[in-house]
Amino acid sequence: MNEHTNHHDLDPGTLSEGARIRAQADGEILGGNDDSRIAFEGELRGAVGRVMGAGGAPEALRASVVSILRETEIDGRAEVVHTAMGDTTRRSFWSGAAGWLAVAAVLALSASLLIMSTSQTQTAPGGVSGVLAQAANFVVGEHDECDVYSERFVNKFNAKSESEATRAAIEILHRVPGVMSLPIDGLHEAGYEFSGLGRCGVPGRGASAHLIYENKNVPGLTLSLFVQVDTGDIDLEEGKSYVHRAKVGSTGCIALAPTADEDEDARSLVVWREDGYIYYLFAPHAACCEKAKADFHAPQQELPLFEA
Amino acid sequence: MEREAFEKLALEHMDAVYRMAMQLAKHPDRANDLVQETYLKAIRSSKGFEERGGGMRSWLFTILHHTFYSLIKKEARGPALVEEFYDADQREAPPDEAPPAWDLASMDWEHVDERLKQAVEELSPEHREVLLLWGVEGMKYREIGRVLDVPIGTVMSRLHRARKTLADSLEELQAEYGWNR
Repeated sequence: MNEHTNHHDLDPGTLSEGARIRAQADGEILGGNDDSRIAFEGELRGAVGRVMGAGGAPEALRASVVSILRETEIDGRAEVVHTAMGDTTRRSFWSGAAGWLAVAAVLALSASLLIMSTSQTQTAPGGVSGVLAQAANFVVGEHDECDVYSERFVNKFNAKSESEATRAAIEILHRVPGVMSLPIDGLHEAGYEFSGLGRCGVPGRGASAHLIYENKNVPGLTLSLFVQVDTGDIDLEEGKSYVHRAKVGSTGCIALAPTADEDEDARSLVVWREDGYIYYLFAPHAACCEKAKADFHAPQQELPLFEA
Repeated sequence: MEREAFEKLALEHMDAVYRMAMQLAKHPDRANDLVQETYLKAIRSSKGFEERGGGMRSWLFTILHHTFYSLIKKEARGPALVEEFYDADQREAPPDEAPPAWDLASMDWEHVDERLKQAVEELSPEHREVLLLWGVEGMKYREIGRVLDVPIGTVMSRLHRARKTLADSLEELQAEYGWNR
């Protein structure tokens, strides 16, 4: 990392109007009432995904790289790469075993979603599925950045009670989505403690909010529910849950094969459309995946989020 | 990480690495060379790799990025090119123009995509690179900054320029076809 590098979070107060609107559209900072400009930026991002995301590595190159990977001797010296990844901020939460499980889960699901994103952008020139893939990638990454111990959490989730959340939902989403009508007390009994709601920047034209819950049964773990106004860009059949699972191997490496429901390492992203909204439920722990799907009233019938 | 697991994980990102190589090199043969060089460096230093932060994808992009600009520096165009660019970028004023507010959905997508492709082609490698990480890979500014080893402000600045170029090209399209704003 060179001397120019500065990875501090953005300070909205220091940004120009244009930079602030773009950062809001990208979900980098909070707030934003300029819906038409934010929507334009969201659409532009989707179009860039379509235009630049097409095409993959030729088979001959793939074969060559496989050969390189299998035949090259590893000398163990970091001779070339001075990776800029080495200064990842360590937060107290991540020092626990549950935290590392969550990190691995996020990495696993992110990686597998990216693979799926690739195929989607290749096969969906109209961009509908590409928007969904972008959104899926985004929500997993956003969950990772918004754990309840982070500074981002304090700034983003400014609605922390039921009444504040209702007011914020009306402001952001124009009304209170059905899933928010689930009694917070009832969810509390089911093992979830509502931690906050904040405006979010899920890719696509629809405004979105991020609700976060702490799992009382697995200390330190959180569950995220993203709610986005349905603008018809994403082709999901109402009444069905679209699910993507990934697993974490024993060494922390990633296996992309679909996992069985009972697999203890399974993590899930569940997406469904209902009553004018798209819901994204991310539960990064086996103990709450299937239960959360039921507790948050996701449709019972399942389809794969991305076709293999 | 076991070698087999490393190989599997690295290969899963090959399409993304290739797309980035194509955006930088703009020629299939050069892109192929870049990808092979990237994976060769990755496997040689795999013992130093730890799955953390941005993970394998960001790590491969970082290697690719440095490999590309190292090659550029070696070539006849002059060793100062990259530094000059970075220095210029550091001095660049933060983006100040607000984005347009018109509705892309009212446009004809086929024409939009074709025009955007042309506009992307005309961007510099630095701007295509950041645009791809943002628009295709869905990376956050901070992660892009780590991959490119630049501050967030530089990421925003490059993204602003790239997006502005694309928006300008769409505005021309809008004027040509008389679509609603």
